[in-house]
Amino acid sequence: MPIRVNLDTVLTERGMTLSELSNRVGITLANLSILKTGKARAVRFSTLDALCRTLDCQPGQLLEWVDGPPEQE
Amino acid sequence: MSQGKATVSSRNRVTFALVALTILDAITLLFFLALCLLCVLAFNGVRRQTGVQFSAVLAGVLIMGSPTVAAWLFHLLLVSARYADPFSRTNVRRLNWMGLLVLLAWLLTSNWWASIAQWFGPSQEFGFPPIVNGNLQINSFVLALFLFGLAGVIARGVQLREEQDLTV
Repeated sequence: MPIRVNLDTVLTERGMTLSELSNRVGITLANLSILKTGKARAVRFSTLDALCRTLDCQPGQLLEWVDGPPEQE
Repeated sequence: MSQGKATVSSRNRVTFALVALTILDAITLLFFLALCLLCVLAFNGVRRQTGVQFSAVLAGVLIMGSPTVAAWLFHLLLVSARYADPFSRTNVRRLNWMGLLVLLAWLLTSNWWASIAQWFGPSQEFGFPPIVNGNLQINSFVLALFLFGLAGVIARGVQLREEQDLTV
């Protein structure tokens, strides 16, 4: 998928675990895991807002576009 | 509370339909097995007699068999509605297979080829389309189309739900 999620990198930089982020943001661990592993098909603005607020980062630090084949419907 | 009662009532209806369908399945399966036996017997006698009898019995087995399998698939569909998730890709495949089997049964049982032959036949000066004559049995055909359509709708629903599940 051309959109890569760099959640694990940002988490490492902040020294935070996924479960800790889950508790602070209020998103289930399962959903965060979907996001982290790149299986997510869409991200809500509210989720992005909560993540950026908690991790003190910009959306561009979390998401990255890489060249590759487009996702199949 | 009332929602709970409605759910219980709905489940009871599904259970009743399941039991009725299981009985129907058993009866149809018995008929099907009897026809298979006839087919084997006819195959034994095919050396002495013409192959027409064998073909007829084989057609009978197919005619009987396709609705039997379709009924069994419907049974599995109801089981999944009762005990598991009904909106799945497996059920979409089941519905498509049911449509195909109903279509096969329609092809075997309807006299559409005879009607078309009559329509274009040289002996008839004027002919009407078979559907106007009422010779064409379209009920099963419409049912097959309905099943294919339903499978398509459920497939789209499954796709939408998967997208929803993967939206964070």
